[in-house]
Amino acid sequence: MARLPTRWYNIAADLPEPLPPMIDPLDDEGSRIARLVEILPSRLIELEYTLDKYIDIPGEVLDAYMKIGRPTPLARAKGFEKALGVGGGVKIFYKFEGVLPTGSHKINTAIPQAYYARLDGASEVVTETGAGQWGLAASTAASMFALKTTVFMTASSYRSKAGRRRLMEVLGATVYSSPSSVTENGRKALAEMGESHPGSLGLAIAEAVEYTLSSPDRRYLPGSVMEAVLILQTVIGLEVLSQLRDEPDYMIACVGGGSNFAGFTYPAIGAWLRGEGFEKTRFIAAESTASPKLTGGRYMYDGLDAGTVLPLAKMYSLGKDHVPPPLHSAGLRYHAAAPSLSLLRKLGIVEAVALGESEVLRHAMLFARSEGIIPAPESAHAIAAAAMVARREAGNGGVTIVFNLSGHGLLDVDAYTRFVEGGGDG
Amino acid sequence: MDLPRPGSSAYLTIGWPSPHTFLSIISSIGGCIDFMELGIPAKRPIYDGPVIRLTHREASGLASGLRGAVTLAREAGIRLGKPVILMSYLSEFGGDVKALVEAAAQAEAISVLSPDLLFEYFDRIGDYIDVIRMYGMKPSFFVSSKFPHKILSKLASTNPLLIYLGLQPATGVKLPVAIYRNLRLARSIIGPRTYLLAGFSIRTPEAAESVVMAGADAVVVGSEVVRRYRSGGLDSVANLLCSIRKALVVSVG
Ligand SMILES: Cc1ncc(COP(=O)(O)O)c(C=O)c1O
Repeated sequence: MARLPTRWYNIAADLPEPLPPMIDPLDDEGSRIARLVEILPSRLIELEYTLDKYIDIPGEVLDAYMKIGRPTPLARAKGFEKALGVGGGVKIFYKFEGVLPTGSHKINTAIPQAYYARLDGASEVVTETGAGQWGLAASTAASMFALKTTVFMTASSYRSKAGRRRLMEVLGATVYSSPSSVTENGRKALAEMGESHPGSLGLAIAEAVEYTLSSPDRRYLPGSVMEAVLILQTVIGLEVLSQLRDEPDYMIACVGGGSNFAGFTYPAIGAWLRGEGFEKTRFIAAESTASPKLTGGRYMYDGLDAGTVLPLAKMYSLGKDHVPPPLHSAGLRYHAAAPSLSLLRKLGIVEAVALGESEVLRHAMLFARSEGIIPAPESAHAIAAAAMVARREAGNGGVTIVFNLSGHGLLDVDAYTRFVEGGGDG
Repeated sequence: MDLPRPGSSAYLTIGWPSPHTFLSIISSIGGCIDFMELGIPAKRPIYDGPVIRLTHREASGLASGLRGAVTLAREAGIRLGKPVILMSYLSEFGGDVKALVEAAAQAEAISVLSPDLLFEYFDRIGDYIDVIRMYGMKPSFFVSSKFPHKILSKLASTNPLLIYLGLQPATGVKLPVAIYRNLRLARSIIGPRTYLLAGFSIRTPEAAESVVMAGADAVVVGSEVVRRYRSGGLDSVANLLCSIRKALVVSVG
């Protein structure tokens, strides 16, 4: 029986090595870290720097979690197993975050963050978005707590994901194409690359933070990467612990900045780190070959955003100025992976695999036709990775794979159109 | 050597603002502290906030290299008549713990504390503990408020001189962090006996008192010393440190 957790989990308290702290660039005359107080909701800062292993979920947030339909289901993908030809030997389960009202896991952290912003007395929340999943979640949560929203949406998605953009506007949000002429960081990028700039998440973050800093009534809501955001996503994995009948052989999730992967796997990884089970489980992060930080990046201190408006964090990174090619899975285009995920990867506790676009969308279609669920292209990276593992393990028998289906793809018509029209349907 | 409970201490970057004035500050505060932390000017003081970072920049060169810094630190210890703990980023020594500990021995410090030991050189901790014991000193550890509990209790089990908990994300920076809650939890993890030093953005006697009430054995004041020196000179520094020490002794001691 699925239970709604009453506490979030902080893996920093269980890590086998201390997490390198965020730092200011050495030439910073002031302090970007000190300025976080003008940027983030204060309770989020408290969470970012907490020694506590578990954090009580406030009552209002629990109520909101119930209202949006948590706990979400954990289901067996029998049709997909059959379609892959691994039925019987390999069991595949998925946690389905796509049932949530905005269509993805992002709402799990948007709700407490909007709640914290309101506690600070803010009137407006500001953020960036790639595919629009995060922007839509933030706009929704802001509406729940009577806050205004401003969203900087990467230019390529602003054009291709007009559906999510419109829905954000329906919720009352103001949505800018990033790079925009609204901020210094945006104007600089436009001057350098012109109107054809596809935008990047790193740049959109820089714009959102800069915009936040220009008024004390605004709070920036980070969509991923910061440890506090990862903590707030652990409701997913804590539910999974109460839903699993047996410990799986594999847990798989896709990685943009890492909050989805962390939310799904950290409670299980934490149990393993404490010696409380999951000895046999392998944890696999599925990223995109367009932004392959965990498989192709360097472990180093780097900017969280392109303008280094925010502090630096130690992460696997492709460089803060990484501008990925426009991609169906816009949500995975971030240049780096969250500090704790990067450390777990460095220590070999988390494995990573990078998947190409056509392989991913091919599996998305297979999943849609065998399970009746159209997955978000981001989530389809986990599907493709699960399929890869399932085929490899098919002969072994008795193998269980659980992956996180972080979102549905009902608004990703653009991605599917290009794929189908490009002949990828085959 | 054991440190007094409650203890009060200050941090200065060696040779700042000039070798001469550095020694004058030292001479004027000996009566207001129980022990002193002296930092070797670093090229990359990455975990420090803006105020201390600037002192590293201003001091480097002035103290004429590592040897000059060590000589000044020894001289400072003599003038203070109080124990000195050397602070240095291990990266300044290219990760060489033996060279780091040797510098502490030459400075006649009672221990050496590296802010980056646990975060950048985790695999050298065993070496550090062995070498520092070989030199007849006890180890000291710097930890953050975002720290694995098991490692914290392991550090406590090495019978260290002290564990230094950075209350805030960087020196001199003040964010809405639950510092008292974190302190109480840190204390419960390391047990009642381990000496817990707390620092980062303690500016007033009241703050020092609250930090000790929440479970710290001692406080260290760094950025505020620099600010006080800049705004009010030697007297202002001594007043601050003496009033902190007095507050601790009266309320807790
Ligand atoms: C559906 C979906 N899944 C996963 C991700 C990955 O995000 P992260 O790893 O940052 O949580 C995104 C990001 O936008 C997304 O939209």
